[in-house]
Amino acid sequence: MLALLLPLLLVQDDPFARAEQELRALVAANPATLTLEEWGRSREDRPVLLLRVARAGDVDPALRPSVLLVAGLDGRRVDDWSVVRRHVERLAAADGELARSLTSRTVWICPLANPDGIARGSASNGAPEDEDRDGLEGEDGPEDLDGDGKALWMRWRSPEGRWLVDRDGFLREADPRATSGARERAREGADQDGDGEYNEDPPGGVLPDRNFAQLWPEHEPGAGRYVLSEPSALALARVVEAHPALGCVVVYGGQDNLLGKPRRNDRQGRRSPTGVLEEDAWILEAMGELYRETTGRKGKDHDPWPGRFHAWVYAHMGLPCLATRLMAWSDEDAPKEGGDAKEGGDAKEGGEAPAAQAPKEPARSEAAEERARQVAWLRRWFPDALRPWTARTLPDGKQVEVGGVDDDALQRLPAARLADLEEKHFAFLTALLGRLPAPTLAEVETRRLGEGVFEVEALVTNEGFLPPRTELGGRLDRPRPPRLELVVADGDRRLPLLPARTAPETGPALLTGPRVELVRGLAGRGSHARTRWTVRTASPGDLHLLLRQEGRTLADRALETKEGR
Amino acid sequence: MNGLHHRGALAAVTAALLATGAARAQGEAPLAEPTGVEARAWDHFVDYAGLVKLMEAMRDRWPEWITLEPIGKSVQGRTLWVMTVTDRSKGAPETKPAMYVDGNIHGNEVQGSEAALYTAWYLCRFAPQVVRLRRILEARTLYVVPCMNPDGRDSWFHDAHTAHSSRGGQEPTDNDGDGLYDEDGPNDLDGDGNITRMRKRVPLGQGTFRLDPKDPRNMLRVEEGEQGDWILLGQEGGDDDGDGRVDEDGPGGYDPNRDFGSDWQPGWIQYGARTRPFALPESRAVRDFLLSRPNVAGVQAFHNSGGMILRGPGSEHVAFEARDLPVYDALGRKGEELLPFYRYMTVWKDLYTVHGGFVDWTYLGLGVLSFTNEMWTGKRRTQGTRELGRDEALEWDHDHAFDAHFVPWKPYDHPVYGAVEIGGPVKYTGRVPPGFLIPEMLHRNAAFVLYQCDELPELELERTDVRPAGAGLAYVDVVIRNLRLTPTRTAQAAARHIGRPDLLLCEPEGVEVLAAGRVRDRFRPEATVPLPERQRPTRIPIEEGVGSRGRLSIRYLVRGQGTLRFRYEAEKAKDLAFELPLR
Repeated sequence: MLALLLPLLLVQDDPFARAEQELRALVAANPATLTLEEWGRSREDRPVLLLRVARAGDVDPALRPSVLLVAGLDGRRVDDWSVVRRHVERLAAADGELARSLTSRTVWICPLANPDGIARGSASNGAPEDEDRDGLEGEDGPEDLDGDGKALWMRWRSPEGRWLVDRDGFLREADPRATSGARERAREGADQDGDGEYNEDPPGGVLPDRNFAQLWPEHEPGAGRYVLSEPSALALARVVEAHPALGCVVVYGGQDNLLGKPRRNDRQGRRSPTGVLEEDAWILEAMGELYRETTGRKGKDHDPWPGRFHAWVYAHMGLPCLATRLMAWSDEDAPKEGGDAKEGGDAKEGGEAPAAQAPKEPARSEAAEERARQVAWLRRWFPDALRPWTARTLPDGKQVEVGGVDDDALQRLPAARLADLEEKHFAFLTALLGRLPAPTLAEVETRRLGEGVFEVEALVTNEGFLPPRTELGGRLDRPRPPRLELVVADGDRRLPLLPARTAPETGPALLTGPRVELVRGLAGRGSHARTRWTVRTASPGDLHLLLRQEGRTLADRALETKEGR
Repeated sequence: MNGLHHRGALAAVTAALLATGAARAQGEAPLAEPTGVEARAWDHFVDYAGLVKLMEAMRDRWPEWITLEPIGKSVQGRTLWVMTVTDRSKGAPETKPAMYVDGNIHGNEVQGSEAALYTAWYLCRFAPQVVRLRRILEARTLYVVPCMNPDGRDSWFHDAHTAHSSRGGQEPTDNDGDGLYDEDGPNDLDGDGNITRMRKRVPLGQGTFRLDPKDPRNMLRVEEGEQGDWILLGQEGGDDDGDGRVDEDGPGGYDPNRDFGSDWQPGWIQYGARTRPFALPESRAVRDFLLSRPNVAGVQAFHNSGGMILRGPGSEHVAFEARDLPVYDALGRKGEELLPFYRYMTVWKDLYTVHGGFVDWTYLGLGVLSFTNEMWTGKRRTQGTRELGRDEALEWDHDHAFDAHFVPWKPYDHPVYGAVEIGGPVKYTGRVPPGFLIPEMLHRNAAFVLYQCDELPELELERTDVRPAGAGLAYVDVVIRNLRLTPTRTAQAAARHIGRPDLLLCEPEGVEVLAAGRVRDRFRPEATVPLPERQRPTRIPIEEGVGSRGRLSIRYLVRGQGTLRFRYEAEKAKDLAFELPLR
């Protein structure tokens, strides 16, 4: 009996296994729309899964205009999976316009992008690191001393302490030039390696979302030994690289770039950009407007770039990448000073009330303001994340107080808001499907210049909203531009129209104009490019114009004169 | 006979003379006549199969010193081999400080492979007679990856090429962004096995060149007031894909030496980069090998050409640690002495900007002092005094190589350009020396590698002192010295926390170790700087290691009688163990 129950119990303890099971069940129940692919294994051998959402249509789903949704890069954000799971359920059950859209568009979803982090409930994975530089790795990590289910903080009185308890009960770092602190603090746990420090070398790890190439912070904590050293990050990069029909990537995670003014590049010349290029800023501005209208969110962007996936998607793959936390403490108004945003609570033992202890302070700094927002948000949505300080004695005899803020809860979404958040973000996601780039052969005009000689003029436009290539994509040459080519139709075969110099004496030939025109200049909706050729042919209808991009045929049209083919 | 070229008798004689002289200088018996691989004449280059055969022959000749192992596969499936060279009877390879040597990351820069292998060959060939070489073989490990780009190398030997082509690997690449891969490369139009040049005669006054009256093989650019009747049309080729451009998308088309992970940049910033660092299987193989060998303390990469001893950084936006530069300079200047036609230079400042280069990664990412030698300079033809002009080079080729390096111009009917002439220098000119100068080039570069090898960290216990401190207490001073130029940890490694810090371990027996601290001033040892509180005196991490010809001085405060057993462990030096009895 135990043997039968054990796998179930293990799954219940492992958020990744639970989510994977749910995902596989959804796919099994909706085989016509959902397909699951494995793109790699994590460091601890969990699968990196990619879900394809598409319905049968004329074009291979892999070649259709598509959007990629990524979630779970930060393993603490387990609620993002709840949102994504509901998205998948809706997509699978879609009817009407959305269902039709899924016959010509594809939604790719990488829902659990950091499997090891999700399994352990942390931002990082289990890669070993020697944080305290003593030659050992992960030998002194936090422990849940008070058995409340989380390893939070310890504080203790110390004349050399760097921390003050401020009027709101926060631990605030003291300015050593002005005042000495009264407390020291460390993560909750004993000194396991006996070096006099507490929990200074926890097990793991590398942050997969700091392991990407854009402004990669080499040698900084959590960045990884080299770019894409983490198998899960590499798998995700391969997903993006292998799908050139992607028009846009959306990330549910720890960043927001749709709430304020886009982060701009501030470097000149041929240097890796620190933000979006000026020429591409309109994309984020427009998508931000759409996002805010659709979701009703207000607040501040949180858009760090070094090593982040979303920055890499734009800066190295050339794709617009829209990042959202779905909801964050900064969405809500700041609490009033001295209000109800107390961190933890007063110590039951050991002294004076924090407010009386704290020296007079100037107005809150920006960091303190931010902390106050966080605490107020937690108090409202996750009151259990604010733990009172309680006295404990460590194994080495040290007297400490244990408690404080569970900062991981800042990455959670309130259960009461999940349905609403999901609905609004689903609306945003589906709105994007209608805004994917759509290079189109809008007009072809064939004019007779003389006997057997014709001038052909083609107009290619972008009928979508997003550009086929961003400005940065143009520099990266990714995706490759639409390719316009005059060909000779022979049944289903398409043969190159050769220049007169090399073509047979009789038969069709290209007299002037490019053999292959790479349509590089298309930007947003309405942008266009014209190309002209002169051809020799007895029968213009035998010639076709092909518009192709990244393996996909966008148009294959026979030439017609005003008099007909 | 695979890809043999420029065979000449002089080389074997040169090598034998060098060796004999060395042996006599050591007072040893004269050498016996060499046979087998020992008798190899290093006056020619071989293709990939030839390299593998040579490595196997060396391993078979010196099995107690040489092992071969595969570390990965190239794009086209060729094996990347690493040769490990050390005297195993004196310790396992990974317990000794190691020098990593590679060559031929650029497929056309072929002599790097021979230089890397010659270094191992010379070491093994003469270690039995030459004391200094014997010492290096015993105390150091040499990791040799002679060919980092076997696909590029093989193409260079077996396909028609110029001196400059086949630089990258052979992974098909869409260089012109038209959705097609490698569809318009150079063409050996006349089928002679060379990619040379095309020239076309035009009416007088319409040309930009004229023929050199002294040697009509040479083209002279017309000066003001002159009239030309020839134009040059670039390298031998055509417009294979009919897009109006010539040879714009040849085989490969990327640079493997822009694929490494420090300061890597995408292709629009750094020409030749792939979509991400370590995108190529060859770079990944070398990366994984080096990450698994923390004992590597020096790196030498061989390229051609120009006569340069290069160090990073490759970009002006990257800084090297100032404390490492004096060591770099000392090694580089010695290199200039050993290679009199070479100059010690910094990549971005003295050559050009390189993002994602191999030796930038090995220093910035791994914290290892690293050099690239650009082997061979045309100046060598004039004993280093000057570069020859094109006409003089033709004359030099006529005199020394009997016109072997120039394909005479001959007429050709080109599909695009009409009547043209095809001819010009072959691939064995410009970037590689003629056969009779190969041995000297290889030997001088190998000498530089072996010098660096000798200058890898070597620790000795300089002294221990015990002085009473009253009340049964004693001070124990331990001074450890690095005899060599290379520190056990570079400043880069220390500052960026790369690798494991060195460790000074103390195992007391019958003695109580109460405290320990760093002695910063040898004349005032009482002013010892205590260890940080968290460090135990019996296990002291030394993040900055023992510096270039530097010392580490530690004072312990102990009580009791017994024995202290010390062990200094460094990733990049042989561990040092010693005991100190306290009575």
